[in-house]
Amino acid sequence: MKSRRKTVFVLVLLVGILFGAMLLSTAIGAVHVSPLSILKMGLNKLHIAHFDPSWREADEAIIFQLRLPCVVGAALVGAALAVAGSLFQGLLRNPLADPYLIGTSSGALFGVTIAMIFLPATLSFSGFGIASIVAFLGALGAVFLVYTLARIGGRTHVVTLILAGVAVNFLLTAISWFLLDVVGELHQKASAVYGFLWGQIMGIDWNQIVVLAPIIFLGLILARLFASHLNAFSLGEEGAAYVGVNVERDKMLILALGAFLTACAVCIAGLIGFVGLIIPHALRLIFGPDNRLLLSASALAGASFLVLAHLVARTILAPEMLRLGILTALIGGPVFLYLLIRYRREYAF
Amino acid sequence: MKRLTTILLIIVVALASATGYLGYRLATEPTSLETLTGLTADEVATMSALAPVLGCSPEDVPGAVGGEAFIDDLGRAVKIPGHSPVERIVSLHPAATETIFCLGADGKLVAVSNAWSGDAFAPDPVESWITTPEDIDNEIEARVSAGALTALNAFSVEPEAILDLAPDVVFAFGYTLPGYAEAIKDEVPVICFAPTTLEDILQNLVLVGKVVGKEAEAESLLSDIKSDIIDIASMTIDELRPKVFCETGYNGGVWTTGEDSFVSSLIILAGGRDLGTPVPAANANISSEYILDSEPDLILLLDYPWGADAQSVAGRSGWGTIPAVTNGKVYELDTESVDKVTRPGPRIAQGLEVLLGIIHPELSK
Repeated sequence: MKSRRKTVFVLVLLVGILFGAMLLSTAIGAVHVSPLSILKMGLNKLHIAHFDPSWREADEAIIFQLRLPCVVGAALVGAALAVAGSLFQGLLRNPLADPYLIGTSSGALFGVTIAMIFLPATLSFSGFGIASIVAFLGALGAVFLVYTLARIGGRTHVVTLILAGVAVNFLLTAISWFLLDVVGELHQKASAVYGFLWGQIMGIDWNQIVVLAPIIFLGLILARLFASHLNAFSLGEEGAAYVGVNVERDKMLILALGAFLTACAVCIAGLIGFVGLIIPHALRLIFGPDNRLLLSASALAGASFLVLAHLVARTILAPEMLRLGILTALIGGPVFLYLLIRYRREYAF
Repeated sequence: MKRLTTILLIIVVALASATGYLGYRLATEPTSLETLTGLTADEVATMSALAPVLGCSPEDVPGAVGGEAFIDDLGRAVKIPGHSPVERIVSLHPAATETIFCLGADGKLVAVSNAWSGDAFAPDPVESWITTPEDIDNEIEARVSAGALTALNAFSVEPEAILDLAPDVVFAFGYTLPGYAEAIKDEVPVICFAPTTLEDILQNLVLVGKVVGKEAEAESLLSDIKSDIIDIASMTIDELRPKVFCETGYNGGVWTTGEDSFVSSLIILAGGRDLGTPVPAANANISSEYILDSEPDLILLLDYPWGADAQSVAGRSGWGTIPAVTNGKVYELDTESVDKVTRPGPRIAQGLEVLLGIIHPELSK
């Protein structure tokens, strides 16, 4: 009973933090719009009240067309990456597992490269540019390739999976850079390529959110449903089989789910490092290895973390923007090291 | 201890926000020069953009062939031995190539960069970085096919291929010394160009003139360009200034020309107020919020040859409220105009005219 109460308390606290982070992030930006005006705008939008606009049309566009979609986008991306990281770490029982380990990052880079070099930049579908869509497909395709490669005689060995993932990552990255260098005129596209490699959340519009939010939510809920199976995996695959888990089927489903969440994140934000690696570790240090709490907490903490990192990236050098990946590591690194030293306990999955 | 973590996080975020806000406010504070002299901010902006142009004289560029060292844009001292001007030039910096043609020293060119030419070398002119004027381009193409001139790819050239041509001097381009230049710099003098300001561009003209032995021609070219720039600046200094947002890229961030960029200076001299100025860099990744907040009257799409157009700008989330968009003042610059505005070479005054034609069409000839 005590542990149940603890779970509820932790989750309520994390929801509160996420809510606070999103409010703060909406209120602060490169441009100052008074919080009172923002509140009034919000109430107007929700048809709760009607205030006469004491603000410019531009202010309203800044809050509702630029800032808010990016805040929501950052939350979705952070949640997806942290949960994907938790899934991969739990399944592969490897402390270095992150959402990009088994091919998603290089698959997405390969997709973006192909799109930038060979496809017309103006193509887009329901708010998603062609590069995002091909990145999404590339990420999933690469994971499928890795999974197929590592599947031997109806079984997928974790070590083979990781090694195949690393090899495919190197291979696809090399091909991508070869194409960019030789065919792609890298010097023209450098900013786009670096934007993708270091992650960016900008220019998101509501159409994208409307498409992605339900998909990512569904992914998060499915992930949570796998929590007790994931706990069984901590006994090792044999142990999991003894307690009645269909090991191969679950492995495939969990990998597919993790890859899918990662691909969703990559397609709007590029490669944002650190979140998917460190958030699950940090939470495991604080709350212990139970995946039932860990997966929900990862979603909330990952979302809050990325929302705050994005806030700092937008404001610290305003009106200039910093690359998001720099901020996630710069803020997250010291916090994680602190946790690591503070909770000097035996690390368990 | 959980609390300590939370407090730490909050402190980090608070500090970051405070710094950002302070920086933003400081950037918009009036300059001290303005308060001292009683000039308007726009006049001060024009004068500070014009000052380096007025002040640029051939005497400011040190160096002589066979004598004291030249100083290139990376601050390297480069000595060119010998008593007479150089005879064999490898120019992998297209702006320098153009200058060499303008000065009439093109007979000394033994190799040029192919990366920037138009349809002569690249399959699709838009795909190549920037185009060279047609007459120079045709001339280069004719010489290359006649075997009198070698075309090298500046991004993948083998150092040996350069040494094989036995040049007296190599003109390179790069904000750090390119790999091929590093490899050959002990065998042959390499002058590396990395212009960011108008002053750099003008001094580079003189530098090229001195190296190729066309000092008098370079001086007259310089004074022509200076007087063109001054003419336009004196026309626009008292005009009402539209706010201009100049976009150089929309991938991986919204990119614009910052304070240190010569394009920013050109916008000011053409009678605009450049919204990139608060950023102390040549190339700036700027916040969309800031652009919406500044309400630009004009948007210049320097990235039009690479896929941005007025329609896509209007379709960006939130950008529909920008006055430039609602008033149809989003200008797509074609490859030739982009070329004139952004190539740091002898056509820079033509670039200024292009901008004048957009920002103050009523003053343009």
